Amino acid sequence: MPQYKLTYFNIMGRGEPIRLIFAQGGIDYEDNRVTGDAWTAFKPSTPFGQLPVLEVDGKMLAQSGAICTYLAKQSGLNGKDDWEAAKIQELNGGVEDLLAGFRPWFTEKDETKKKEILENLTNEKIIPFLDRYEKFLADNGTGFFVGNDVTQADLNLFHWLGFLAHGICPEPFKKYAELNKFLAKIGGLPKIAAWLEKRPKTDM
Amino acid sequence: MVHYKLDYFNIGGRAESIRHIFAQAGVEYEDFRIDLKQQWPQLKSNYPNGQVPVLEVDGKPLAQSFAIGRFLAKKFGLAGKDDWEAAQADMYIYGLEDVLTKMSPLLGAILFGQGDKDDELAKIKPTVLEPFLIKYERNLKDNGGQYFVGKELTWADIAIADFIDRLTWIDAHILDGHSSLKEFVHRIHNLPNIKKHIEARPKMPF
Repeated sequence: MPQYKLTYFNIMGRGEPIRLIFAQGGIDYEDNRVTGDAWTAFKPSTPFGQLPVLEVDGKMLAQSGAICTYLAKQSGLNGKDDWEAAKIQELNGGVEDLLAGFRPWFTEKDETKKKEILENLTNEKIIPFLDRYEKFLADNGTGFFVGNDVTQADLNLFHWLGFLAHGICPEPFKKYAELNKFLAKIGGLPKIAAWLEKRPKTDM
Repeated sequence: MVHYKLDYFNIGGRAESIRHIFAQAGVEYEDFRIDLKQQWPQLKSNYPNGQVPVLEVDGKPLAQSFAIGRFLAKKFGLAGKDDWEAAQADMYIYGLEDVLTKMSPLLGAILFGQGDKDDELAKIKPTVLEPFLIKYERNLKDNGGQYFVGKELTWADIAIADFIDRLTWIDAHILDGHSSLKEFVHRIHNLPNIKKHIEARPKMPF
């Protein structure tokens, strides 16, 4: 059994989809949350000077997408064949495109400007994203985003759709029947529900 | 016989490394190039995400350059010898993605004349491009200098060589002081199939 250690900040952010995969995959790991000085000390030894980083028997892997896919493959959460694995990447890629659009909002300090940025972002990027992903879910017809069983795409989307639903645009989110059903479904999976119960409660 | 069609703009952009993967694997595909200014506005709504590249595999569409590259790399034996090597290849490609995302204003200047190319380049060269090249050169050396992952060619090598080469189209001196990367690009781009593709391809801004 390999020794897994995940190092990330004490937030959900880009670490949470990884933690959800560990939970659903039933894999034990050290959930190493770092701040300030501990991060400064650790940073030079990371491949990209960034977190999250996964250590597997001491060997390091960076980039949340690479970590998610590696762990998903080890735990049967990467789809049933190469095409499903590709569809997972396609869906996750769409999420990355959306997150890239959030950068100006994350970095803006002025509250009024921040509100304006979010309003534009909501109309130009978030709503079209939600429209598309509602349709993907409906078209797949199984309640999951890919194939007929849970994959890492469902876990990734559970986290980021949750971020939109609870933090960013709760009102517009209410009208998406499939996406709301999806959040309840994934949140209700026993191993996920257990993790949601016990995980540290952080704002982001 | 699987039929592949790659739909993208008539530039390198996010699809040139995919073209290199097909070339290296010696696999035929339809290279459908869309003129960014003349044709894209009319064709955009044909694509489910309003985006290209899209790979059509026997007519079934797959969007997202990373998804396409990874799918083909796996099919053509260019994804490393095991899951760990596949993950490392993924990691290096995501690193390229990070840089490409930060290049949006620069590419806007080059492709659409929005803003000033030299200004945008001056902004990101010290903060994004140089650190990227330093990091990747070290990673290559740490792995023995031949390949980025393991002991054989992977799609990470193909994509990195392609991306770094095209950076020199924007700034001819960008590889000054990065001799290992210079040699790496030269070596990868002299692989016979990739060399043939490069010799035959149209001239592009990026």
